[in-house]
Amino acid sequence: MSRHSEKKLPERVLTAQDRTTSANPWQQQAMAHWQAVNRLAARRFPQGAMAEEAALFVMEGLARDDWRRLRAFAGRSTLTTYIVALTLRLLEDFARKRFGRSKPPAWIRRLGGIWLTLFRLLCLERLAPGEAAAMAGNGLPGPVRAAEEAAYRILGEIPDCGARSGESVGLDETTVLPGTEDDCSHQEERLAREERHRLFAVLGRLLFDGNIGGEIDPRLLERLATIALPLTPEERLLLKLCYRDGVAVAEAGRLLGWNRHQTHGRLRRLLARLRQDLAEVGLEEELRLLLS
Amino acid sequence: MNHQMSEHENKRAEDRRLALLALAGEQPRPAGPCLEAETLAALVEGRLAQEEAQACLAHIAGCDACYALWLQLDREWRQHRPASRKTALLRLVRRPRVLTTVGSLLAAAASVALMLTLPSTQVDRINLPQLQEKTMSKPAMEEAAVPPAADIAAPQTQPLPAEQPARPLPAPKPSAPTAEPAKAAAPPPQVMAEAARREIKADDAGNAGRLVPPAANGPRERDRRGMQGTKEKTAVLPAEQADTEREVAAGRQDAHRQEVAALSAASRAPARATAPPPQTEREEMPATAEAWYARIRRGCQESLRPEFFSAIAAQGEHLLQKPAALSSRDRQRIEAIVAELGRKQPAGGRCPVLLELIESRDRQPQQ
Repeated sequence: MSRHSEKKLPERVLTAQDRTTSANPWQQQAMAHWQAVNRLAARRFPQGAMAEEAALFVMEGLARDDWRRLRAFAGRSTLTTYIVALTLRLLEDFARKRFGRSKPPAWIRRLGGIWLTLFRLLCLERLAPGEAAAMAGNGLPGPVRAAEEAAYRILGEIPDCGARSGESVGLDETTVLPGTEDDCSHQEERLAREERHRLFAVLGRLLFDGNIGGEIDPRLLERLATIALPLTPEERLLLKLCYRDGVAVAEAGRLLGWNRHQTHGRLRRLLARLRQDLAEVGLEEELRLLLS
Repeated sequence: MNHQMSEHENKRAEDRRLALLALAGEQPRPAGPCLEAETLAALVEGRLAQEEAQACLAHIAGCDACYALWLQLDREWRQHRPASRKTALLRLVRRPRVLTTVGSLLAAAASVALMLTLPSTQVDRINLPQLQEKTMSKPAMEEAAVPPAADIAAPQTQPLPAEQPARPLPAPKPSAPTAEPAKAAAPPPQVMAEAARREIKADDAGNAGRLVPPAANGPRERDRRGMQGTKEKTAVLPAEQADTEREVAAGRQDAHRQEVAALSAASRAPARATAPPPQTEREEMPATAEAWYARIRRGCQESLRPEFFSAIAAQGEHLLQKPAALSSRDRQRIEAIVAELGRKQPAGGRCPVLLELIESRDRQPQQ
């Protein structure tokens, strides 16, 4: 990381106008955050050369249209956090340009979160499971552990993971990248029937770690999953953070703006309500079989 | 223990399965377009209004891309945000363990403060000077001078009501000079009353000093003697108080002034060749014949000391030097007592004679 942080911003990033008017405040701000950009690039791409290339991609993206992205800053947050947010998005853009796009299996899309990230890191960028888990877990112990388990599960479920990697995808100015400011709503598609069957088969193995997976009928899981359990966005996020991504309960509460006691109380009440909802639709016995 | 742990693990596994079952249902569509970078940054920094933050979270709950970016940005912000002392303090204070510890410490501190505050000022006044003496080394004790009479009188008189007897103080050191305070200007009446009390107290202090050999003059021994002297003073205090109050009531301010002057003169005078009384006896002479008689009665009631009669004789001679303050009969009695004291006689036989002379004086009407 230090090797990258010591590098200077190359001249080609600066336009002729910037060189003549070096007093451009946005350019100066971008230069001031050059080390942060390098650090983030080095964390996102373990390979040194690729990290340098990604950092340059980010700076070019920031400098485009006379620092248009930076000029859009309205002061609602600190400039550093804003530049970090821009950098993270541009790094993902670079990864899509560099490694292409691949449609994940339906069960991974359904699980989402670190499963999607791990699929991209393992099957597109061909990272080792440990590297991918460390990256997907954001360096936090709980998420890294959960990500490591998920990484090996993905490798077990997708034998040809990474077989078609390294295929660059052309990217020009007209290409609309998913995940940028105006586009992420088309990620959800209708699942095919066979995909749904596979989804719940994998889900059964995931839920029960193969212990009683052979005895669980995927149709029972599908039936359970089709029941519309009302979840508010905050409740959904709480369940994702705590039980899918392995984030500590207190940390999840901090992300959602609650204190430790509020978070534990809400989680306890939410789980009790879910049990009650499933029992009220007549699935109490199935639930008992699945959970006990 | 293991059973409890396994129960906890089973409960957590059940909760996880239930949560994943709930999440396995249909994903909600993201609410609105993806978040702008600045909105996301403001959300992470907690700068959004509640409604806006909830709208952002509603989108994040359905958008995996924004969800991943949200988590990454939060991690970066946590690692590189400026260290806020207030935030760190709040986080520290909010920890239940810290709260428990701080509460216990506060309770302990309150208990100690209560224990230090609850005992009455009486105990403090008695103990604190002794503690001070204990902490002083012996050379320091020798070098330290007795505070002026006004300084001694102040803590005695201030906290006590006027009608209560003076609370005993640790006995002043016999070697300490007390002549300097007596040289002060003419004291007000209340100070003069204190001077009379001080006179009685000095007698007792002198007695205590004579009883203890100098070799045993260590701090602990001095403390013990101080306590003994305090008890003795407490026992004789009502009689002394009656004497002094009688003097004050008689309005003999001139006699007191003379007493002060006499104390100064006595302190400056060389020691007598015959039987020099202790310095405190010599310095604090009785102001009137009444006080001198009372001192003789008290000395005869207590255990007789060899210096007592010489001190009484010196005091009587001192009184005879002030004929204006004495009636003719008092002068005659004093001369008779002094003459009696000048004769060689066993110490045990002196007191009945002296008391007889005083009683005969009491029986005769004063002229």
